[in-house]
Amino acid sequence: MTLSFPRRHVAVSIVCPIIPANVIPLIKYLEALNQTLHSRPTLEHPLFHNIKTHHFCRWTVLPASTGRHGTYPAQLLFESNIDTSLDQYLELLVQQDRETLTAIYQHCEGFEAASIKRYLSERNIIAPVHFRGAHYHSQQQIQDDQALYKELESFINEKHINGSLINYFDLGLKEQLSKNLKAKGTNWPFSTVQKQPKPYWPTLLGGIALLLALLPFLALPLGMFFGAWYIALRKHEKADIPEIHNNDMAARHSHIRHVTQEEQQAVQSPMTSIVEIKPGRFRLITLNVVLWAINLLADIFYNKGKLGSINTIHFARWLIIDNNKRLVFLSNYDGSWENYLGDFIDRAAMGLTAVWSNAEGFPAAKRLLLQGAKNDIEFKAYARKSQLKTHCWYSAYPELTLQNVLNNSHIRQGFNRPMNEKQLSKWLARF
Amino acid sequence: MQPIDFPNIQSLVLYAYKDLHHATYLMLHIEHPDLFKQWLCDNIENITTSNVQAESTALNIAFTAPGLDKLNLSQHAYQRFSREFKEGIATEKRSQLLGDEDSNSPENWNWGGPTTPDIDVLLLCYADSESALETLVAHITSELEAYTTQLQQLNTQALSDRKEHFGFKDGLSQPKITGVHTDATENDTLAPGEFLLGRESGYGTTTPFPHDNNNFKHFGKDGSYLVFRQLEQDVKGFWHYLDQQNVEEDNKVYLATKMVGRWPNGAPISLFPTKEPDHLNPSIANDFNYSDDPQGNHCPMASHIRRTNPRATDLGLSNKKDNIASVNHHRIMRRGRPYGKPLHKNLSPTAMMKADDTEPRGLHFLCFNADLARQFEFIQQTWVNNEKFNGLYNDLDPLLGTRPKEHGPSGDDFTLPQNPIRRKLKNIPQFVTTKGGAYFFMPSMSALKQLTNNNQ
Repeated sequence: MTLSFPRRHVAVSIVCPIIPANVIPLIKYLEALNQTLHSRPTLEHPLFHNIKTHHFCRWTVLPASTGRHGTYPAQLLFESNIDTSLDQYLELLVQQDRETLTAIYQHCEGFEAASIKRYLSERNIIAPVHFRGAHYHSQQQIQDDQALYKELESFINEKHINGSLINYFDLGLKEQLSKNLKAKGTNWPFSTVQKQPKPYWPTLLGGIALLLALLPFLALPLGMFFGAWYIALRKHEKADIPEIHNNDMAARHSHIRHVTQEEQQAVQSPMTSIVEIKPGRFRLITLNVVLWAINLLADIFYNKGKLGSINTIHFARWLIIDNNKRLVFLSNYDGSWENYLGDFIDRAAMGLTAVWSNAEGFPAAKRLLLQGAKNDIEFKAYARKSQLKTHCWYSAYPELTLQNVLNNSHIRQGFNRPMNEKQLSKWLARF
Repeated sequence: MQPIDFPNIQSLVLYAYKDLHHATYLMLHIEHPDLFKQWLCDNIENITTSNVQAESTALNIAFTAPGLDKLNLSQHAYQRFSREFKEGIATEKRSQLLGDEDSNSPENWNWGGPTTPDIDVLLLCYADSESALETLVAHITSELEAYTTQLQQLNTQALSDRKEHFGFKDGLSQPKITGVHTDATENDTLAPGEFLLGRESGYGTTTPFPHDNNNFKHFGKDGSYLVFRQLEQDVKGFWHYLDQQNVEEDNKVYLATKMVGRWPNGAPISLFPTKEPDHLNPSIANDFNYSDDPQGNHCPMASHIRRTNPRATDLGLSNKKDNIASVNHHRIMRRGRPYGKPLHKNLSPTAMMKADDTEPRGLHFLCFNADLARQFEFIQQTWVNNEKFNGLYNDLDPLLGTRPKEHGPSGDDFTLPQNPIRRKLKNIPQFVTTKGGAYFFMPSMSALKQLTNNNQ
């Protein structure tokens, strides 16, 4: 028995300023690269398909822009979700396809082809929130699990069609499936033990115990601190300038057409969004605390494939860039944009309001958590307005939803577990 | 909540004219906008509004975006229509989202596509007898002849027992509107703003409505977006496919029932899992919500009625009420009617398996909604045309799916969960082909008057 991928996925976020004159050629290059990646039949590209340790990655240009609080240069953003360390990953990228990397980064300020790895590594920034849908599943594991599912699926279909499946029930269907796989001789991953996220309750209990122990000493200062913070928050919320939407509906609609061109082509889609953070230390600190809390929840609580009750996100993150002036959101999700945004409103409005109400243009929020994203019309308009086109995007398993990934993993894990009748029937329902 | 303004709302939005069995849809291209406006002004009294009971005939009117533009709707108001409506149903991107690709592609449509002339106006004519309908249509046609070109006259065909062509009773599940339908049940009752612009929606916000501050104040209010799709059904192909399945005669109807989610007489398989009841009591036609069938052992997850309205199906939310509330953001008011001769006059499955003709038949699918993206398009994209719906791998809607898909998973499986292990139908061909489509807007009566009064 082997233990599956024992570590956590690493978030790579590399931001580099682009030489102004090179913005358009770079976009063109990335779009062409994207075309290659999504051509049918699939053409294998060394920078993407040869690397077995990344899940989703994207290169996208954040265009130069002027907001309420600053002027921002055009920048190239690289996002990747990986199974190794950043160092090993960059090493692998350079080793696999130095040529393409150079072709991309030669458009960026200060780039030197000779020290490409150092250039990238120095520009990597930490994501305050990194949400992972399938914790402790390496890309290889996900691919192997899908191969296992396919094999079992066709075995069951075949026996169904020739009417012989009934013979397997008496002998134990699970045992027969496993026997059949072993007979086929290939190295199926069904003996791999899945590393599980730690249970949340020790942290929770520990936290509560600590709080109770310290309460007599901290009650007064904490109460005063929160009271002051709350008063400041309400003051800020009342002073917020509501978004003045561009009245030119034709322009607004044409922006949506532009950013959605490549969206929702198949099973999964990327989303890239950027907004300005409201000015002042109060908002910045509040935002950072909220992001820290969400990341903590994502680690200890929402670590079984659901963020709240949203079960369609493979990987997502927030980044703070431009000297704490702008907030970037990157996501790799399943299904339609309408579904994704609808889920945000129905299932995660509080969390999202807590984050984005610290950014300009977000629908008016109350007490940090309320209203905001609950205003469906304003929130969707805000989401579309802040969305950017994702110029080049790659998925290592484009035909799998997160629900598929987790279901496949449960099928594999089932082989390692003795089951009672009820568990067996639940496991068999996974095919 | 504001009361419903019945005299201001065209009746079809709220009522289906169930007693008017005959219907014809006229699609027109306006040649002389001013003369057309005059006609509309003269005939505005003939438009059926929702405060009166339609006796022997009914008439309603709707416009495409180019049609409204032609009648000099102000740019300010025009631009405030939704992006989906203004772009129309046949853009490349929208076709991809709706599954109007390959054989469904607008390039091949009879109407509404890039190769056919622009539709401006839709007239929906209903009557209680064939002769009354003929008289109504002939009258309108002769009056409008001089200033419009009639692009399509689409007739309908009422089938026995309110069935559609595959042989299943249709139109059983409809949302109800607060303040309109008195027989409403809690879980099925939606806010008026789900179907009427400018009213409060299920989110508690006001559905945006196009207007300006001059001649078109409140223009969009109490209007509704109308989706019209001509869906051709390969009835022979459907029953032949089932006939080829390696099961007994009775079980072929059972398999079809699993695909639909209801027995031919409309009885939900959720309530009658093994056998079609002799008679369906209408009061229980919607008395189920899947909460006792999480795996789909009775009504498969992939079945047509479960994925077009998942009710309380666990879509990730932990409680029943939240699931229902979330599903209810994506409902439509269906107003479709079949067209073409039935493959067999009694729609008997056994007879249809043997029957053989190539006459075109299908459904003129019509539905109302206030937000095309969140309602009609959502259902089509996220539920019907999504092989990954709620944890599935490769199952498009068994009736409506566009198969096999060119990109990504082929989508041509149908999974029937059962004990101890599921059965799967494979290589399901496509049974429904889109032959035409357009997005219309059905204005309120006051909006129609604004259009006719405006002589800029």
